[in-house]
Formats: sequence, structure tokens, C-alpha cells
Amino acid sequence: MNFKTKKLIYLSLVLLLVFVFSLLVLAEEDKVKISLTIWTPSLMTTVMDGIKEFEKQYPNIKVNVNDIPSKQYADFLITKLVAGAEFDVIQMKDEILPSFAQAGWILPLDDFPGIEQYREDLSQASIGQMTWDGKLYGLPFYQTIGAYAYIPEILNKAGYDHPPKNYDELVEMAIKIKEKQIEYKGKAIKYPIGTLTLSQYQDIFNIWVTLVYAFKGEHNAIFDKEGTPVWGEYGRQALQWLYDAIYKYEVINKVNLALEPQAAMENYAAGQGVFFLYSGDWMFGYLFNKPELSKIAGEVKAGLLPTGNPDKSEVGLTSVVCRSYVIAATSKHKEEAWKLLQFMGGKDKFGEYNQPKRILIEDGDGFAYQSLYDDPEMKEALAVRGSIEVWAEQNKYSYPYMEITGFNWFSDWMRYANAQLNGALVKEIEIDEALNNMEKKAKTLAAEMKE
Amino acid sequence: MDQPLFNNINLKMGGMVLKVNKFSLKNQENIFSWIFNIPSIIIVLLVMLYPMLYALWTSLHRYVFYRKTMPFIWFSNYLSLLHDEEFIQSAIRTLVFATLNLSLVILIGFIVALVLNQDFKFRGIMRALVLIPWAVPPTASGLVWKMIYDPQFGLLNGILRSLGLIQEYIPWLAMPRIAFVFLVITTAWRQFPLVAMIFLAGLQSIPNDIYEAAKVDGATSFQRFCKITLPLLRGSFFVVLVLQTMFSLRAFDEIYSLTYGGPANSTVTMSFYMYFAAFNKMYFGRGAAIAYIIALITLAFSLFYIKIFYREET
Repeated sequence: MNFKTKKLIYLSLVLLLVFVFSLLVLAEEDKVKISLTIWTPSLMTTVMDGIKEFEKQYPNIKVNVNDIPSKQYADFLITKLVAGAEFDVIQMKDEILPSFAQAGWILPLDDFPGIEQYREDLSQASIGQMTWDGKLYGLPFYQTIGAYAYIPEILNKAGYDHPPKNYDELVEMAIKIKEKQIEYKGKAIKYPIGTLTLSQYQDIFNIWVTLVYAFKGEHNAIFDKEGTPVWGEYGRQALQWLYDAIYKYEVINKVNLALEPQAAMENYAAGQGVFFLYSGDWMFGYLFNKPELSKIAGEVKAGLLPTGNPDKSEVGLTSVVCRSYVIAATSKHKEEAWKLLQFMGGKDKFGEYNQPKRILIEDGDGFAYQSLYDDPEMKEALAVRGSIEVWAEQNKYSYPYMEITGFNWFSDWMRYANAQLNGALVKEIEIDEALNNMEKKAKTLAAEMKE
Repeated sequence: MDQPLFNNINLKMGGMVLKVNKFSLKNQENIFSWIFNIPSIIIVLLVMLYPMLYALWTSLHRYVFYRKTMPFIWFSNYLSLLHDEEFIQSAIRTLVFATLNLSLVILIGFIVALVLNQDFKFRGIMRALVLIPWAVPPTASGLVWKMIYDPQFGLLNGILRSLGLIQEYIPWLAMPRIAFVFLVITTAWRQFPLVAMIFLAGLQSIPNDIYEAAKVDGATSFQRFCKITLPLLRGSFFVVLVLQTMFSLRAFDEIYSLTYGGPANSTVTMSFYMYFAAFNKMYFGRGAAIAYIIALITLAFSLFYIKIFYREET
């Protein structure tokens, strides 16, 4: 081959490559590009795998993922949406959904084709969580309820054959375990009751709310339907219980007052406590029963929430929290966004609950679709949470978190309430003063919003 | 302005007389300086003046994110803050924070500058090392200090316990007053290098002759420090006071990463409250009003400093 021929061949090859590359670029350009905005790092692998699968099922759609840290998630969306930025599908937290819906930043799904099949299969509580002003705004990627976790082995050592049924019994058992200096994982248990963090985050609010619902024993224990505070004496009882558990009985470690949310769960997973108030069902699959992360894996069980008011309810009530996908009003590709939303929060192209199933199986989170309870794969995955019957029973004593969060002044009030509850527990203010302040603030904010 | 832009000259061409304006050199320079500066002026106006005016405009409206209308409400946002107990508490807290922070930063910065001004081995390396805290992003610095104060694994607890000063680990950041003091320390740690460098630059600009002359006149070290060093550092003090007051009043990042305003709101300053107003409550107008109040307080402090320093000079 002479030099000229070689040159010609090389040139042809280069041209061919350029041609193929251009075709690929053009093919990529032809695709409809939509965005998916998320905050859930723990679900990242499942979400990314899901997107690959979605792009296979819908080859003409390309999904770009914006991953935003949870702490800045709402701030990020607000600043962008106010500036009119374009989004397509967004992960949504229950507590900000009402404000976003009211602002017109997200679209109601009632007119999208096929929405009825989801309505029929969703739990009523989850529908309540995603509804604003009578319209459904999202499809859930997980739904969670809470109970509490306990370690039967330690209870047996202390001479108990059943978990506590009410809060007095819980304290009594905790004191006995502490006094007996029962050893677990090589150490005497000093603080038998673990809790979510009691520092100034949302967790402290959730614990107080759980206690108020337990002591009151009925729905709408925090606000009535108009948003008027109605916790009354039960609110004080709940906060006093926590205060006494920390300072009087010393069964909750006061270190919890300064912990990050994750650290509180990790302490329990390291075998530092007997009970864990209040445990979402996802915590079992995500941490407690994962042998590579937890020393208590296989030894921890779920128990029905204790009651604080046996006359009203035999079991403590739990909130249903539901995280969903919604479509942004600024989306220019609503049809494609609806396909992605269904894939991520509902059914894929072949009618399978692809992502909601994966999220339970891979990540241990809960689900809102009732038909999935009959799915053998899901039954097997649910076993990681201990007794399925306990969760099914606890589910009967649930209320939608929207009972508390469904007011457009809620997120600002909760921020204030977190500080007041934390203030009472770090002895900065009196319990009654903290609760009075919270009541006053709720009324002020509600009045301000009406202006 | 008193010089005309063009001077008339007459050109004779054949039988014709052509009147031509001569472009004077000085005016030519003026025009070029305008031409070259206009782009940067436009950029400054766009990126600084526009947001400032927009924030002012916002602060005069009831701008709530999820409302469709945005009525003009004059100074209601400002007036409503006077009745907002949380804001008033945050304002008081900010002033206490600024005072403590300013004092600590100036004290440490000044001592470090005096040390670095001495002649010793590895002085250059030390000067570079001192700058490290200043180079750390504020959020990262907050997170590092959070680990130091950690109630379970923190270095501080570890040291105190190994010295036998505490029996069990203490949740420092769950104690409102201590958390506040730790926030001041954390912020001062990051800010003192800049102050030290400003003082160091000031110290190096003082001619040695003055000290030598004072020595010959029998002045003691203390007298030289009080009569020469301090007065001649007045300019540096002025710069430090203005800058640090501004930084202290606007402190945000360390609070965000170290305490998030807790415990019991004890570390919520005005700038952090502004964040809550805008992003939690979604009252953007009120948030902008708080921003303007912070700016006005900073301006008032700056004018106060100028008055004091000028009066001393005159």
C-alpha cells in the first residue's frame, strides 16, 4: 500500500468516525430531555438504576438528575421556582407540599390519564398526604409509619416476657434494666431508652407529637381541622414525660439533646439501648437489621407504640408520612414528565410497580400501594422488619401527618416549636411557657396568613 | 467641564476655508477613560446596584412566595419587625455576638501580629500557616468544630476527661450559653488571620527610626507601645473595626453548620433569622427588610467609627 492510499484510508476512517459521532449526537439531540430533582442520598443507587431502566423503556426520553442535599432542598426549590426556573419531576416532602400547591408551583394530577388506577390502590392516609384543596398532587415513592424498636433478649434478662404497653410501664422497665446493670454487647446498659435526636431538628417535634397522640388517644391531637392548637394538658404531659425520662429517671441520655438525627439511630444500632422511640418502619431495613451496619441485627423487634390513654386507645397512634414525586408547573414536557412520574412513583411501562418495590427490597422503605401486600417478593422483603403482623396492626392506629402539616404556616411554626421543645428540655424555659409560646405562635401565624 | 470638547481651527484648501474642530488631548483622555470604564460601571450597576434596589423594592411589598399578588405596603415589613419578639431577641443576640466576636478577634489578631512582627526563625512559614483558618470555607470550619465539640467522640470532651476535669462526656452544644460562646470561638478562629495580617501590615509600615529615637529618649517598651505603636496603627484599627463589625453582623455559615440556631434558638442572629423569614416562612419581603436593617446597622457603626477616628485626628 502506498502512502497516498494509506492516507486515504485513514482519512476515510476519521470521516466515518465523525459521521457516526454526529449521528449519535443528533440521536441524542432528538431525545426529549427532562429533569428529575431529588434529595434522597440513601436511595441514590435505586433511583439511578431506575432511571437507566426508564430510559430503556422510553428510549426517546433522557433524564437529567439534580441531587440536592436534604437540608437545603426546600430552599433550593423555592429560590429556583420563584425565579421561574424550569423543572419537570420533583421529589416532594409532605410538609412543604401544601405551600407549593398553593403557590401554583406544582400541578394537580387529577386530569392526567390513568390516575384513577393509582387512587384505587393507594392507602387513604397516603392520598391525604398528597392532597391539597381536594386535588391529588403526587404519587408516592414511599410511605412510612412509626412504632418502636426493642430488644427482647434484654427484656427477658430483666424478667419481662412482653414489651411495654404504656408509657408508665416503659419507664418502669427502663429503670429496672438500668438498676440491674444488665449487660448487652459487653456493656451495662446505662440509658435503656434511645430516641430520635432531641436537638433543635424536626425529630424532637415528631417525638413530642407521638407522645401527645398517645396521651390523647385520638386523631387531631395537635390541631383541630381549622388549625387551632388543641393539645392542652396532653401536650404538657408529653413534654413532662420526656423531661422526667432525661433528668428524673435518667433513662434517656442527655447527649441526645445535641445529636445529629443519624447519630441517634446509630447509637441504638450499636447496642446502646433497649427501646428506640420512635422507629419508622424504614429504620429496620435501612439500619437496625443490616448486619454490616448494626450490632443488633436479627435481635431487634418492632413493638406496637405504647398508649398513654388506655381508655381511648389500646395502642399509641402513629403518623403516616408519605414522600412523593410531583410535576412542576414550569415543566415544558408534561407528557414525558408524567411517564417518569409514573415510573418512579407508580407503575412502569409494563404495569409493574417497579420503583416502589425496589425501594422496599433494596432500601427497606415502606410503600403506599395496598396491592403490594399480596406480592410474595414484598412479603419476603418485609420480614426484615420483624413481625409483619405488628406493622399491620400498628397501621390500624395511624393518622395522616397532614393533620398537623396541612396548614400553610406549619413549616415556620414547626421551626419555632422545635426551638421551644428543645428549650424546655435543655432547661432554658419552663415546660408550660414553651407550650404557651407554641400556642400563641400558631395563632399569630395563622392570623398573619389570613391577612 | 470648563474646557470645550472641541476647539475650532480653520483649514485653508484652495480658495475655501474649512472650519474643523480640533480634538483636544485632555478631552480625548476623558472620553477614553469613560469608554474603558463604562463596561465595568455597567457590570457594577447590574450586579450590585440592581440587587440592592430590588431588595429595597421587595422590602416594601408583601412578597409571600405562594401568593399571587404582591401589594405595596410601604414600611409595614419594617414596622412589623418591631413587634416580632423573635426578631428583637435575635437583634440583641447579634449585638452581643458582634461585641464578643470583635473583641476576641481583635485581641487574638493583634497578639498574633505582634508575634509575627518579631524577627525569628521560620517567620515566613509561620505567617503562611496563620492564614490557613482564613482559607477554610466557613461551613467546613463549622463542621470541623462541631466534631471537636461532639458529645460522644469530640476532642474537647476527650481532652477534658483525660485531664480528669470531667467525669462523663458533656453535650456542649445542648447548653444555650456555652453553645453561644463556642459559636463566638469558632467564628473568631476563622476570622483572626485576616485581622492579624491587617495589623501586621500596619506594624511593618511604622519606621524603625521612630522606635530608635524613642529608645534614645529613654522610653520604656510599654511607653513605646502606647505612644508609638497604638497611635500609628489607628488606620489598621479603623479598617479592622469596620470589616469585623460587618462580618459579625452578617455571620451565618458557622451558625448554619454548627448549631442551626439551637439550642433553644440561642444562636439565632439577625442574619439567621432573615434566612428563616425568607425560606421557612417564605416572607421574602420581610427577609429583605431584615437585610436592610442589618445593612443600616452596619452603616451606622461605620459612621460612628469614622466620627471617632476623624475627631481624634482633628
